[in-house]
Amino acid sequence: MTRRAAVAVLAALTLLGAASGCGGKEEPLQTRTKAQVESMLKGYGDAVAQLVGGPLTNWATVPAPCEGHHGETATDGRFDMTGNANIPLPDDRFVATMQRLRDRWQQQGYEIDSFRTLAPPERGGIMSVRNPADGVSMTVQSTSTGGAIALIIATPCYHPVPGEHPVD
Amino acid sequence: MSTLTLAQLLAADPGSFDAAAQAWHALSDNLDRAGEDLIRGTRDLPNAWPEGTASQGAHTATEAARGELSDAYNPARRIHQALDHHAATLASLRSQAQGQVDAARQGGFAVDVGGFTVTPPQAHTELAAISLEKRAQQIVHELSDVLGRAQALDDSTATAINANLPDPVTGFGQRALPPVSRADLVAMKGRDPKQVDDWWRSLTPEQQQQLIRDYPDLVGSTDGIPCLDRDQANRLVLRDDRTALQQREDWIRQRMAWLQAHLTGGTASDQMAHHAEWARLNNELPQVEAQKARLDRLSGKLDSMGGQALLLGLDPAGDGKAIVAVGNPDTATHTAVLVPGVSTNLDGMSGQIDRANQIRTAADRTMNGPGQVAVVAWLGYDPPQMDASLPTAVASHRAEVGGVALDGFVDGLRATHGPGGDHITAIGHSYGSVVVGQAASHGHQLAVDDIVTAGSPGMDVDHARDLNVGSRHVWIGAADDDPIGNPAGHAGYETAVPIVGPWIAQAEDSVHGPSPQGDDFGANRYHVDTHGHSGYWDRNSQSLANQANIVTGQYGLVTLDLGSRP
Repeated sequence: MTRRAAVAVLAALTLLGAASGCGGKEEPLQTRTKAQVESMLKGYGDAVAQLVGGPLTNWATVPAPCEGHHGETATDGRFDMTGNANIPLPDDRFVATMQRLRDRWQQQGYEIDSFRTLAPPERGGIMSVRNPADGVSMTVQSTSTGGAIALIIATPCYHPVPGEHPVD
Repeated sequence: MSTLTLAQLLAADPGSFDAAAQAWHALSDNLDRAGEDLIRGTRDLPNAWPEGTASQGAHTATEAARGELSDAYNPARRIHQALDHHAATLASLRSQAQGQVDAARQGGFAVDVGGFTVTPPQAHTELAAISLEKRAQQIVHELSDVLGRAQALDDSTATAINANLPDPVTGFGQRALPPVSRADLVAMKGRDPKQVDDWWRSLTPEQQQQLIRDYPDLVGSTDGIPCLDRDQANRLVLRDDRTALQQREDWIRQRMAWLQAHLTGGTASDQMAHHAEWARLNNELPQVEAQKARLDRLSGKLDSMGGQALLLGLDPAGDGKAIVAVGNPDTATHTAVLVPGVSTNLDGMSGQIDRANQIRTAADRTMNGPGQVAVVAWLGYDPPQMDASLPTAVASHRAEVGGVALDGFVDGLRATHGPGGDHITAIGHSYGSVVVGQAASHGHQLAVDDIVTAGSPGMDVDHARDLNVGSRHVWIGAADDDPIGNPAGHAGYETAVPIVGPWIAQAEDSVHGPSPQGDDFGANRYHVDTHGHSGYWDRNSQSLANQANIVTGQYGLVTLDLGSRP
């Protein structure tokens, strides 16, 4: 067999693997309305803003079809949602704020997936946490221009209520 | 003739000229936009309101306004350019003159800038006095040279401004410049994109619109033409191709119906000819339908993106090519160009646009405010498909051709980018990373700041430094279970795949050079927490977050498994 043929077989196998369907289909999912999920995300956002001590700006939520482990998307209406925003924060308060957030979230039983602040003269840092109670994960990180933090909140996958199509 | 004096040169304020240049720049941009809006808004007026005295009057007034707006753009732009050049050159000349005066004074010479005289210091010998006097004359000569250049600059700037000021009576005039020919446009294609950009901006808005209307295929595919104009042209190409396919389909159906009705009539020879033609059309019909459906899908995807997507390239021939930006690369602070791999074609473009959007969303939300990132799904080459062309994935020919196209496209982005930040990242997925490798090496110089790979089988180079962006700016990602991107995954084929497994592993390990994932390649390895060959853009994954932080230049926030940040 030539190398060309070998690669052809490899590519075919790869594509077959990628087309094997949406991961997590067998997991029991909760059912939520789009409004419920938006409200929950906003609640998380407001809580972070209060801890940071500044207003949420550029707040936006984006529903999307759930994704499987290979990037394939659900076509049966299952959805998750991401909320993102900025919160103004002077650069010299960033590290202390990150530590305060981490301490508070640890007290609340959140899992700290990663926590890193940059050593001077660099500024900034990044932290990712997950609430095991509802599967919501949050990332807080510095922004490239400074002066604010970026907040990203992501929900797990949900079933839509009958008749609602949150992604459309 | 300028009467600028040395004292005036030394006291000159280049900042005021720069401010004036920026004001004229803003004016020319506003005129350009207003001209385009007016042209677009009134283009269909003759069809909507074709007859009557009032209609005629409206058309005449519209044409006059279009002509005057169009004619005002270039003079405003030329005054901006003259003032911009004046500010920069004046700053340089003033600095030179000040340096000469300072150096002379430090040497003990008395410099009277008002009277433009240079007096040497007291000499103790006659020989020294002669030498100092000669030096004083030389200083005067050098200062005169600088002053002469400043005066010439003054004259040329004044000439440029006076030549482009509106006439007090007729304004900028209302006569449209002659249309630009296809030959002119063809001659620009393939030139340095910066030249193309300069040429395009020298045209009036009406001339630009004429080219977009008359030759959309050329405008849409020429690197160095601004993204918004390329988008406008390519959408016309899309619409026209769609219309042509619909007309072809309609004709085929009508013809087949007629042939069907005449299969049994006429001579035997006629019947045979009708049968043959019917069979040929019956074979062509599904192809036309498929091509039409493919363009419909792309069109639908673009529509679903609202004003967020720009169609920067379209070629429906063969498997099809398309270039779609999510966001506007000409105004974005950070732009990424995503190059897909094997089996991507026009049918799969929606998925590529989704990926581009994922990256853009992830990157944009790490900024302080939205809209500062653009991501281009770049299917500007012909990847190997899951058909007879698949074995070409082994070879690099398609990547070589694609690399040249990618290199030119990125040069075009650089050329047309407006003022402000201009950070560009190339992201190569799978075979797309071979294309990126080719574009950045082998005599090419891909004009990007960072290179990212996801599931790369190799980049046709031996070391990260061969990619000409600096090893620390090359970022490699591969999932543990990605059989293409992870050499460790190749080994699995040796046992998992009977008979051909070892061949697969060997071919993948060597055909496009060493795996960039390897320690010896010298690149940074960013952390990947996703699975398989296609999961690198899963929402809210660390794989995606790391790419987003590279795209926005926030290197300190990238989680690395190997290497060090720039």
